[in-house]
Amino acid sequence: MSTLTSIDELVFGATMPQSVGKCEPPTDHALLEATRDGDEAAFAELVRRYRGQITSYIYRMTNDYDGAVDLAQETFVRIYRARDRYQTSFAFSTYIYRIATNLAISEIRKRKRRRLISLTGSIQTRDGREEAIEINPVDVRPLQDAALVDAERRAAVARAITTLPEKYRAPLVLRDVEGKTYEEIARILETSEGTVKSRISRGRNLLRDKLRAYL
Amino acid sequence: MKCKAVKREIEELEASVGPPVEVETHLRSCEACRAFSTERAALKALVGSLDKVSAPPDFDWRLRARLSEARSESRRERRWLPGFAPGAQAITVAASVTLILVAVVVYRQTRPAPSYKTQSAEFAATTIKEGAKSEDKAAPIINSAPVAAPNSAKQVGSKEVGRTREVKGVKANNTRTELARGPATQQQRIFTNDLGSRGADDLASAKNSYTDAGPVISVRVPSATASQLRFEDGQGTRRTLSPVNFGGQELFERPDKARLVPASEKGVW
Repeated sequence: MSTLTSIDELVFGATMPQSVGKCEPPTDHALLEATRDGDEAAFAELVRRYRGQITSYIYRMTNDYDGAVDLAQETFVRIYRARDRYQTSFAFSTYIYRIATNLAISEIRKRKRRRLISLTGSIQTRDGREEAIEINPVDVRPLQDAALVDAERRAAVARAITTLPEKYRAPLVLRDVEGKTYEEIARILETSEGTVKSRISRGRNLLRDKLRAYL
Repeated sequence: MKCKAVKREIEELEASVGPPVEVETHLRSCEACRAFSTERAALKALVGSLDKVSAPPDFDWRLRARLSEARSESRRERRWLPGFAPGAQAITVAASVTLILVAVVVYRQTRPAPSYKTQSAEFAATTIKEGAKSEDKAAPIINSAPVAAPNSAKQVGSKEVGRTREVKGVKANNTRTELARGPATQQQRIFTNDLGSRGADDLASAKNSYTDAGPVISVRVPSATASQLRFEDGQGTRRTLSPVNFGGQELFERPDKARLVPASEKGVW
Protein backbone atom coordinates (compact mmCIF):
# COMPACT_ATOMS: atom_id res chain seq x y z
CA MET A 1 0.00 0.00 0.00
CA SER A 2 1.32 3.42 -0.84
CA THR A 3 1.32 6.08 1.81
CA LEU A 4 0.92 9.66 0.79
CA THR A 5 2.53 12.34 2.83
CA SER A 6 -0.07 14.97 2.14
CA ILE A 7 -3.77 15.00 1.50
CA ASP A 8 -3.09 17.20 -1.49
CA GLU A 9 -1.40 14.30 -3.17
CA LEU A 10 -4.65 12.42 -3.05
CA VAL A 11 -6.20 12.08 -6.49
CA PHE A 12 -9.45 10.24 -6.26
CA GLY A 13 -9.86 7.59 -8.83
CA ALA A 14 -6.52 8.34 -10.42
CA THR A 15 -4.56 5.79 -8.50
CA MET A 16 -5.48 2.40 -7.28
CA PRO A 17 -4.15 0.86 -4.14
CA GLN A 18 -1.22 -1.44 -4.72
CA SER A 19 -3.09 -4.34 -3.21
CA VAL A 20 -5.53 -4.32 -6.07
CA GLY A 21 -5.10 -7.48 -7.99
CA LYS A 22 -5.45 -7.77 -11.69
CA CYS A 23 -8.41 -10.12 -11.46
CA GLU A 24 -10.55 -9.11 -8.54
CA PRO A 25 -11.06 -5.62 -7.21
CA PRO A 26 -10.55 -5.25 -3.50
CA THR A 27 -13.60 -5.42 -1.32
CA ASP A 28 -14.90 -2.36 0.49
CA HIS A 29 -13.64 -3.79 3.75
CA ALA A 30 -10.16 -4.20 2.35
CA LEU A 31 -10.17 -0.65 1.08
CA LEU A 32 -11.27 0.74 4.39
CA GLU A 33 -8.70 -1.30 6.27
CA ALA A 34 -6.07 0.05 3.89
CA THR A 35 -7.35 3.54 4.56
CA ARG A 36 -7.00 2.86 8.24
CA ASP A 37 -3.38 1.95 7.62
CA GLY A 38 -2.80 5.27 5.93
CA ASP A 39 -3.44 4.35 2.31
CA GLU A 40 -5.12 7.42 0.87
CA ALA A 41 -5.52 5.82 -2.54
CA ALA A 42 -7.71 3.13 -1.00
CA PHE A 43 -9.99 5.78 0.39
CA ALA A 44 -10.03 7.47 -3.01
CA GLU A 45 -11.27 4.23 -4.50
CA LEU A 46 -14.04 4.00 -1.93
CA VAL A 47 -15.10 7.53 -2.78
CA ARG A 48 -15.12 6.71 -6.44
CA ARG A 49 -17.34 3.70 -5.85
CA TYR A 50 -19.95 5.39 -3.71
CA ARG A 51 -20.00 9.11 -4.48
CA GLY A 52 -22.66 8.78 -7.19
CA GLN A 53 -24.93 6.46 -5.21
CA ILE A 54 -24.78 8.50 -2.06
CA THR A 55 -25.29 11.80 -3.84
CA SER A 56 -28.28 10.40 -5.72
CA TYR A 57 -29.78 8.83 -2.62
CA ILE A 58 -29.52 12.00 -0.57
CA TYR A 59 -30.85 14.00 -3.48
CA ARG A 60 -33.96 11.80 -3.59
CA MET A 61 -34.39 12.27 0.12
CA THR A 62 -34.00 16.03 0.11
CA ASN A 63 -34.79 17.07 -3.48
CA ASP A 64 -31.94 19.57 -3.23
CA TYR A 65 -28.92 18.83 -5.38
CA ASP A 66 -26.43 21.23 -3.81
CA GLY A 67 -27.44 20.15 -0.35
CA ALA A 68 -27.17 16.52 -1.40
CA VAL A 69 -23.62 17.01 -2.68
CA ASP A 70 -22.68 18.73 0.53
CA LEU A 71 -24.15 15.95 2.64
CA ALA A 72 -22.53 13.28 0.49
CA GLN A 73 -19.17 14.88 1.10
CA GLU A 74 -19.92 15.09 4.79
CA THR A 75 -20.68 11.37 4.68
CA PHE A 76 -17.21 10.61 3.32
CA VAL A 77 -15.55 12.98 5.76
CA ARG A 78 -17.24 11.16 8.63
CA ILE A 79 -16.19 7.81 7.31
CA TYR A 80 -12.62 9.04 6.97
CA ARG A 81 -12.52 10.47 10.46
CA ALA A 82 -14.08 7.36 11.97
CA ARG A 83 -12.01 4.92 9.94
CA ASP A 84 -10.39 3.53 13.08
CA ARG A 85 -13.75 2.77 14.65
CA TYR A 86 -15.19 0.97 11.64
CA GLN A 87 -16.19 -2.63 12.33
CA THR A 88 -16.42 -5.15 9.54
CA SER A 89 -19.39 -6.93 11.07
CA PHE A 90 -21.67 -5.77 8.25
CA ALA A 91 -21.36 -4.51 4.71
CA PHE A 92 -19.66 -1.20 4.06
CA SER A 93 -22.56 -0.15 1.86
CA THR A 94 -24.87 -0.55 4.85
CA TYR A 95 -22.49 1.54 6.91
CA ILE A 96 -22.22 4.37 4.40
CA TYR A 97 -25.96 4.40 3.66
CA ARG A 98 -26.69 4.55 7.36
CA ILE A 99 -24.49 7.61 7.75
CA ALA A 100 -26.04 9.21 4.68
CA THR A 101 -29.55 8.45 5.91
CA ASN A 102 -28.85 9.96 9.30
CA LEU A 103 -27.41 13.08 7.72
CA ALA A 104 -30.33 13.39 5.32
CA ILE A 105 -32.92 12.94 8.06
CA SER A 106 -31.07 15.45 10.22
CA GLU A 107 -31.14 17.93 7.35
CA ILE A 108 -34.84 17.31 6.77
CA ARG A 109 -35.55 18.01 10.43
CA LYS A 110 -33.46 21.15 10.34
CA ARG A 111 -35.43 22.40 7.39
CA LYS A 112 -38.65 21.60 9.14
CA ARG A 113 -37.53 23.65 12.11
CA ARG A 114 -36.59 26.50 9.86
CA ARG A 115 -40.00 26.13 8.26
CA LEU A 116 -38.56 26.47 4.83
CA ILE A 117 -41.16 26.29 2.15
CA SER A 118 -40.23 23.85 -0.54
CA LEU A 119 -41.39 24.06 -4.12
CA THR A 120 -44.28 21.81 -3.33
CA GLY A 121 -45.01 23.36 0.00
CA SER A 122 -46.67 21.43 2.72
CA ILE A 123 -49.35 22.01 5.26
CA GLN A 124 -49.99 20.18 8.45
CA THR A 125 -53.35 18.64 9.02
CA ARG A 126 -55.08 18.87 12.35
CA ASP A 127 -53.61 15.57 13.47
CA GLY A 128 -50.09 16.81 12.70
CA ARG A 129 -49.56 14.93 9.46
CA GLU A 130 -48.15 16.75 6.49
CA GLU A 131 -50.03 16.96 3.30
CA ALA A 132 -48.65 18.13 0.03
CA ILE A 133 -49.96 21.18 -1.68
CA GLU A 134 -49.45 21.18 -5.38
CA ILE A 135 -48.25 24.69 -6.00
CA ASN A 136 -47.60 23.64 -9.57
CA PRO A 137 -50.62 21.50 -10.31
CA VAL A 138 -50.71 19.10 -13.16
CA ASP A 139 -51.12 20.92 -16.42
CA VAL A 140 -53.83 19.08 -18.30
CA ARG A 141 -53.19 20.81 -21.58
CA PRO A 142 -51.51 18.58 -24.14
CA LEU A 143 -47.80 19.16 -24.46
CA GLN A 144 -46.14 18.90 -27.79
CA ASP A 145 -42.89 17.55 -26.48
CA ALA A 146 -43.04 14.15 -24.80
CA ALA A 147 -39.74 14.87 -23.09
CA LEU A 148 -41.34 17.77 -21.30
CA VAL A 149 -44.13 15.48 -20.15
CA ASP A 150 -41.63 13.03 -18.74
CA ALA A 151 -39.68 15.80 -17.07
CA GLU A 152 -42.81 17.17 -15.50
CA ARG A 153 -43.84 13.76 -14.29
CA ARG A 154 -40.47 13.03 -12.78
CA ALA A 155 -40.44 16.39 -11.06
CA ALA A 156 -43.86 15.69 -9.60
CA VAL A 157 -42.73 12.30 -8.33
CA ALA A 158 -39.62 13.81 -6.78
CA ARG A 159 -41.69 16.47 -5.06
CA ALA A 160 -44.19 13.91 -3.87
CA ILE A 161 -41.43 11.82 -2.33
CA THR A 162 -40.07 14.77 -0.42
CA THR A 163 -43.48 15.38 1.12
CA LEU A 164 -43.54 11.91 2.65
CA PRO A 165 -42.83 11.66 6.35
CA GLU A 166 -39.18 10.78 6.88
CA LYS A 167 -39.94 7.41 8.43
CA TYR A 168 -41.67 6.34 5.20
CA ARG A 169 -39.44 8.27 2.87
CA ALA A 170 -36.13 6.63 3.69
CA PRO A 171 -37.26 3.00 3.31
CA LEU A 172 -39.27 3.79 0.20
CA VAL A 173 -36.37 5.51 -1.52
CA LEU A 174 -33.98 2.77 -0.50
CA ARG A 175 -36.35 0.15 -1.85
CA ASP A 176 -37.92 1.65 -4.97
CA VAL A 177 -35.17 4.04 -6.06
CA GLU A 178 -31.97 2.47 -4.80
CA GLY A 179 -33.21 -1.12 -5.15
CA LYS A 180 -32.02 -2.33 -1.75
CA THR A 181 -33.36 -5.54 -0.27
CA TYR A 182 -35.55 -5.48 2.82
CA GLU A 183 -32.74 -7.00 4.79
CA GLU A 184 -30.30 -4.30 3.75
CA ILE A 185 -32.82 -1.57 4.47
CA ALA A 186 -33.47 -3.02 7.89
CA ARG A 187 -29.76 -2.94 8.65
CA ILE A 188 -29.33 0.57 7.32
CA LEU A 189 -32.26 1.90 9.31
CA GLU A 190 -31.45 -0.30 12.29
CA THR A 191 -34.92 -1.72 12.52
CA SER A 192 -36.71 -4.98 11.80
CA GLU A 193 -37.65 -6.23 8.38
CA GLY A 194 -41.30 -6.29 9.37
CA THR A 195 -41.19 -2.62 10.25
CA VAL A 196 -39.46 -1.84 6.98
CA LYS A 197 -42.10 -3.70 4.95
CA SER A 198 -44.90 -2.00 6.81
CA ARG A 199 -43.41 1.45 6.33
CA ILE A 200 -42.75 0.91 2.65
CA SER A 201 -46.34 -0.23 2.13
CA ARG A 202 -47.72 2.83 3.91
CA GLY A 203 -45.33 5.09 2.07
CA ARG A 204 -46.51 3.71 -1.24
CA ASN A 205 -50.12 4.26 -0.30
CA LEU A 206 -49.36 7.89 0.55
CA LEU A 207 -47.43 8.29 -2.67
CA ARG A 208 -50.24 6.74 -4.67
CA ASP A 209 -52.67 9.30 -3.29
CA LYS A 210 -50.34 12.14 -4.22
CA LEU A 211 -49.58 10.85 -7.70
CA ARG A 212 -53.01 9.57 -8.64
CA ALA A 213 -53.05 11.88 -11.64
CA TYR A 214 -50.03 10.16 -13.12
CA LEU A 215 -51.10 6.56 -12.52
CA MET B 1 -54.95 -17.89 -1.51
CA LYS B 2 -56.50 -14.98 0.29
CA CYS B 3 -56.46 -11.42 -1.03
CA LYS B 4 -54.46 -10.17 1.95
CA ALA B 5 -51.69 -12.66 1.37
CA VAL B 6 -51.69 -11.91 -2.36
CA LYS B 7 -51.36 -8.18 -1.75
CA ARG B 8 -48.51 -8.78 0.63
CA GLU B 9 -46.79 -10.92 -1.98
CA ILE B 10 -47.26 -8.21 -4.59
CA GLU B 11 -46.02 -5.57 -2.20
CA GLU B 12 -42.84 -7.43 -1.38
CA LEU B 13 -42.19 -8.62 -4.87
CA GLU B 14 -38.71 -8.03 -6.15
CA ALA B 15 -38.63 -5.92 -9.25
CA SER B 16 -36.69 -8.43 -11.26
CA VAL B 17 -38.79 -11.40 -10.22
CA GLY B 18 -42.30 -12.16 -11.44
CA PRO B 19 -45.16 -13.12 -9.13
CA PRO B 20 -45.48 -16.73 -8.01
CA VAL B 21 -47.88 -19.01 -9.85
CA GLU B 22 -50.37 -19.00 -6.97
CA VAL B 23 -50.53 -15.22 -7.06
CA GLU B 24 -51.00 -15.14 -10.81
CA THR B 25 -53.82 -17.63 -10.48
CA HIS B 26 -55.49 -15.49 -7.85
CA LEU B 27 -55.06 -12.34 -9.91
CA ARG B 28 -56.91 -13.88 -12.83
CA SER B 29 -59.92 -14.49 -10.65
CA CYS B 30 -59.84 -11.40 -8.35
CA GLU B 31 -60.39 -8.03 -9.94
CA ALA B 32 -59.51 -6.03 -6.80
CA CYS B 33 -56.19 -7.73 -6.43
CA ARG B 34 -55.53 -7.30 -10.13
CA ALA B 35 -56.20 -3.59 -9.84
CA PHE B 36 -53.93 -3.42 -6.82
CA SER B 37 -51.18 -5.22 -8.69
CA THR B 38 -51.50 -2.93 -11.70
CA GLU B 39 -51.46 0.16 -9.53
CA ARG B 40 -48.41 -0.97 -7.59
CA ALA B 41 -46.54 -1.83 -10.76
CA ALA B 42 -47.30 1.61 -12.18
CA LEU B 43 -46.21 3.30 -8.99
CA LYS B 44 -42.95 1.38 -8.86
CA ALA B 45 -42.32 2.24 -12.49
CA LEU B 46 -43.04 5.88 -11.79
CA VAL B 47 -40.69 6.06 -8.85
CA GLY B 48 -38.12 3.95 -10.65
CA SER B 49 -38.22 6.34 -13.59
CA LEU B 50 -36.48 8.98 -11.56
CA ASP B 51 -33.12 9.78 -13.00
CA LYS B 52 -30.07 8.94 -11.05
CA VAL B 53 -28.04 12.03 -10.44
CA SER B 54 -24.29 11.88 -10.42
CA ALA B 55 -21.77 13.67 -8.30
CA PRO B 56 -20.50 16.97 -9.71
CA PRO B 57 -17.09 17.09 -11.41
CA ASP B 58 -15.57 19.05 -8.56
CA PHE B 59 -16.79 16.57 -5.97
CA ASP B 60 -13.33 15.09 -5.40
CA TRP B 61 -11.64 18.48 -5.25
CA ARG B 62 -14.11 19.76 -2.69
CA LEU B 63 -13.85 16.57 -0.70
CA ARG B 64 -10.07 16.87 -0.63
CA ALA B 65 -10.41 20.37 0.76
CA ARG B 66 -12.80 19.18 3.43
CA LEU B 67 -10.60 16.25 4.36
CA SER B 68 -7.63 18.57 4.59
CA GLU B 69 -9.60 20.78 6.91
CA ALA B 70 -10.65 17.76 8.93
CA ARG B 71 -7.01 16.74 9.25
CA SER B 72 -6.04 20.19 10.47
CA GLU B 73 -8.75 20.01 13.10
CA SER B 74 -7.54 16.57 14.08
CA ARG B 75 -4.00 17.88 14.52
CA ARG B 76 -5.28 20.76 16.63
CA GLU B 77 -7.24 18.37 18.79
CA ARG B 78 -4.20 16.17 19.31
CA ARG B 79 -2.30 19.10 20.79
CA TRP B 80 -4.67 19.06 23.68
CA LEU B 81 -5.03 16.32 26.16
CA PRO B 82 -6.90 13.29 24.84
CA GLY B 83 -10.59 13.80 25.22
CA PHE B 84 -10.04 17.41 26.11
CA ALA B 85 -11.48 19.72 23.52
CA PRO B 86 -9.84 23.14 23.00
CA GLY B 87 -12.98 24.89 24.09
CA ALA B 88 -13.02 22.92 27.30
CA GLN B 89 -9.93 24.69 28.60
CA ALA B 90 -11.46 28.10 28.22
CA ILE B 91 -14.57 26.84 29.96
CA THR B 92 -12.46 25.41 32.76
CA VAL B 93 -10.57 28.66 33.25
CA ALA B 94 -13.78 30.68 33.25
CA ALA B 95 -15.38 28.27 35.71
CA SER B 96 -12.32 28.45 38.01
CA VAL B 97 -12.32 32.24 38.02
CA THR B 98 -16.04 32.29 38.73
CA LEU B 99 -15.59 29.79 41.54
CA ILE B 100 -12.84 31.85 43.12
CA LEU B 101 -14.92 35.02 42.92
CA VAL B 102 -17.90 33.28 44.46
CA ALA B 103 -15.71 31.88 47.23
CA VAL B 104 -14.32 35.34 48.00
CA VAL B 105 -17.77 36.89 48.09
CA VAL B 106 -19.14 34.11 50.28
CA TYR B 107 -16.18 34.41 52.64
CA ARG B 108 -16.61 38.14 52.95
CA GLN B 109 -20.31 37.73 53.58
CA THR B 110 -20.01 34.97 56.16
CA ARG B 111 -16.84 35.79 58.09
CA PRO B 112 -17.51 36.71 61.73
CA ALA B 113 -17.75 40.44 62.30
CA PRO B 114 -15.91 42.03 65.23
CA SER B 115 -18.15 41.94 68.29
CA TYR B 116 -18.54 45.63 68.75
CA LYS B 117 -21.70 45.23 70.75
CA THR B 118 -19.97 43.15 73.37
CA GLN B 119 -17.03 45.46 73.53
CA SER B 120 -19.32 48.45 73.69
CA ALA B 121 -21.35 46.93 76.52
CA GLU B 122 -18.22 46.14 78.49
CA PHE B 123 -16.96 49.61 77.93
CA ALA B 124 -20.27 51.13 78.94
CA ALA B 125 -20.24 49.17 82.20
CA THR B 126 -16.81 50.42 83.11
CA THR B 127 -17.45 53.97 82.09
CA ILE B 128 -20.73 54.24 83.97
CA LYS B 129 -18.87 53.54 87.16
CA GLU B 130 -16.23 56.02 86.26
CA GLY B 131 -18.82 58.55 85.18
CA ALA B 132 -20.61 58.24 88.50
CA LYS B 133 -17.44 59.17 90.30
CA SER B 134 -16.90 62.23 88.22
CA GLU B 135 -20.39 63.61 88.09
CA ASP B 136 -19.36 66.90 89.56
CA LYS B 137 -16.42 67.20 87.28
CA ALA B 138 -16.64 69.40 84.29
CA ALA B 139 -16.07 68.15 80.83
CA PRO B 140 -12.94 68.96 78.94
CA ILE B 141 -12.87 71.39 76.15
CA ILE B 142 -13.51 69.83 72.84
CA ASN B 143 -12.87 71.53 69.62
CA SER B 144 -14.39 70.42 66.42
CA ALA B 145 -13.79 71.43 62.89
CA PRO B 146 -14.71 70.65 59.31
CA VAL B 147 -12.71 68.59 57.02
CA ALA B 148 -10.12 69.73 54.67
CA ALA B 149 -10.92 67.90 51.46
CA PRO B 150 -14.43 67.12 50.27
CA ASN B 151 -13.16 64.14 48.36
CA SER B 152 -12.08 62.43 51.51
CA ALA B 153 -15.61 62.67 52.81
CA LYS B 154 -16.87 60.77 49.82
CA GLN B 155 -14.28 58.15 50.32
CA VAL B 156 -15.11 57.49 53.92
CA GLY B 157 -18.84 57.58 53.30
CA SER B 158 -19.64 60.02 56.00
CA LYS B 159 -23.19 60.67 57.08
CA GLU B 160 -24.54 64.15 57.47
CA VAL B 161 -27.05 65.19 60.08
CA GLY B 162 -28.33 68.64 59.21
CA ARG B 163 -25.29 70.83 59.19
CA THR B 164 -23.59 68.94 61.95
CA ARG B 165 -21.90 65.70 62.10
CA GLU B 166 -21.98 63.52 65.15
CA VAL B 167 -19.23 61.17 66.08
CA LYS B 168 -20.09 58.85 68.90
CA GLY B 169 -18.41 56.17 70.79
CA VAL B 170 -14.78 57.11 70.44
CA LYS B 171 -13.47 54.56 72.81
CA ALA B 172 -9.86 55.28 73.51
CA ASN B 173 -9.64 53.88 76.99
CA ASN B 174 -6.68 55.84 78.21
CA THR B 175 -7.83 59.14 76.87
CA ARG B 176 -11.44 58.64 77.71
CA THR B 177 -10.82 57.69 81.27
CA GLU B 178 -8.71 60.67 81.85
CA LEU B 179 -11.16 62.90 80.11
CA ALA B 180 -13.95 61.64 82.32
CA ARG B 181 -12.03 61.95 85.51
CA GLY B 182 -10.22 65.10 84.78
CA PRO B 183 -11.44 68.59 85.44
CA ALA B 184 -12.45 70.94 82.72
CA THR B 185 -9.06 72.20 81.89
CA GLN B 186 -7.31 73.17 78.74
CA GLN B 187 -5.06 70.19 79.13
CA GLN B 188 -7.51 67.66 77.81
CA ARG B 189 -8.63 68.41 74.36
CA ILE B 190 -9.86 66.83 71.25
CA PHE B 191 -8.76 68.51 68.11
CA THR B 192 -9.82 68.20 64.58
CA ASN B 193 -7.70 69.11 61.65
CA ASP B 194 -8.65 72.76 61.66
CA LEU B 195 -8.48 73.24 65.37
CA GLY B 196 -9.63 76.59 66.55
CA SER B 197 -11.21 77.66 63.34
CA ARG B 198 -14.72 77.30 64.64
CA GLY B 199 -16.63 79.51 66.97
CA ALA B 200 -17.78 79.14 70.54
CA ASP B 201 -21.10 77.56 69.59
CA ASP B 202 -19.37 74.60 68.15
CA LEU B 203 -17.26 74.20 71.21
CA ALA B 204 -20.26 74.37 73.48
CA SER B 205 -22.22 71.77 71.59
CA ALA B 206 -19.26 69.50 71.52
CA LYS B 207 -18.79 69.96 75.21
CA ASN B 208 -22.42 69.11 75.91
CA SER B 209 -22.21 66.06 73.79
CA TYR B 210 -19.20 64.92 75.67
CA THR B 211 -20.86 65.55 79.01
CA ASP B 212 -24.04 63.73 78.10
CA ALA B 213 -22.23 60.75 76.90
CA GLY B 214 -19.92 60.50 79.84
CA PRO B 215 -16.75 58.79 78.85
CA VAL B 216 -18.13 58.06 75.42
CA ILE B 217 -17.09 61.07 73.47
CA SER B 218 -19.63 62.59 71.18
CA VAL B 219 -18.25 65.26 68.97
CA ARG B 220 -20.46 67.47 66.88
CA VAL B 221 -18.66 68.50 63.81
CA PRO B 222 -20.08 71.45 61.88
CA SER B 223 -19.45 69.77 58.60
CA ALA B 224 -20.10 66.42 57.15
CA THR B 225 -16.55 66.09 56.06
CA ALA B 226 -14.59 65.60 59.25
CA SER B 227 -11.73 63.37 58.48
CA GLN B 228 -9.56 63.30 61.55
CA LEU B 229 -9.65 63.73 65.31
CA ARG B 230 -6.71 64.53 67.47
CA PHE B 231 -6.58 63.87 71.16
CA GLU B 232 -4.45 65.53 73.70
CA ASP B 233 -4.58 63.55 76.89
CA GLY B 234 -3.23 66.23 79.22
CA GLN B 235 0.12 64.55 79.59
CA GLY B 236 1.68 66.11 76.59
CA THR B 237 0.79 63.18 74.34
CA ARG B 238 -1.22 63.77 71.23
CA ARG B 239 -3.04 61.01 69.50
CA THR B 240 -4.69 61.04 66.17
CA LEU B 241 -7.75 59.06 65.20
CA SER B 242 -8.11 58.53 61.51
CA PRO B 243 -11.39 57.54 59.91
CA VAL B 244 -11.60 54.30 58.02
CA ASN B 245 -14.36 53.02 55.86
CA PHE B 246 -15.82 49.76 57.04
CA GLY B 247 -18.94 48.31 55.51
CA GLY B 248 -20.15 51.71 54.38
CA GLN B 249 -19.95 53.03 57.93
CA GLU B 250 -17.40 55.58 58.95
CA LEU B 251 -15.26 54.53 61.85
CA PHE B 252 -12.46 56.06 63.76
CA GLU B 253 -9.47 53.94 64.35
CA ARG B 254 -7.53 54.09 67.54
CA PRO B 255 -3.83 54.77 67.22
CA ASP B 256 -3.06 51.31 68.55
CA LYS B 257 -5.68 49.87 66.15
CA ALA B 258 -7.23 47.91 68.96
CA ARG B 259 -10.77 48.81 68.03
CA LEU B 260 -12.87 50.37 65.43
CA VAL B 261 -15.68 52.55 66.58
CA PRO B 262 -18.52 53.50 64.29
CA ALA B 263 -19.07 57.16 63.72
CA SER B 264 -22.55 56.85 62.35
CA GLU B 265 -25.58 58.56 63.74
CA LYS B 266 -26.74 55.38 65.40
CA GLY B 267 -23.54 55.11 67.28
CA VAL B 268 -21.88 51.95 68.41
CA TRP B 269 -23.19 48.77 66.89
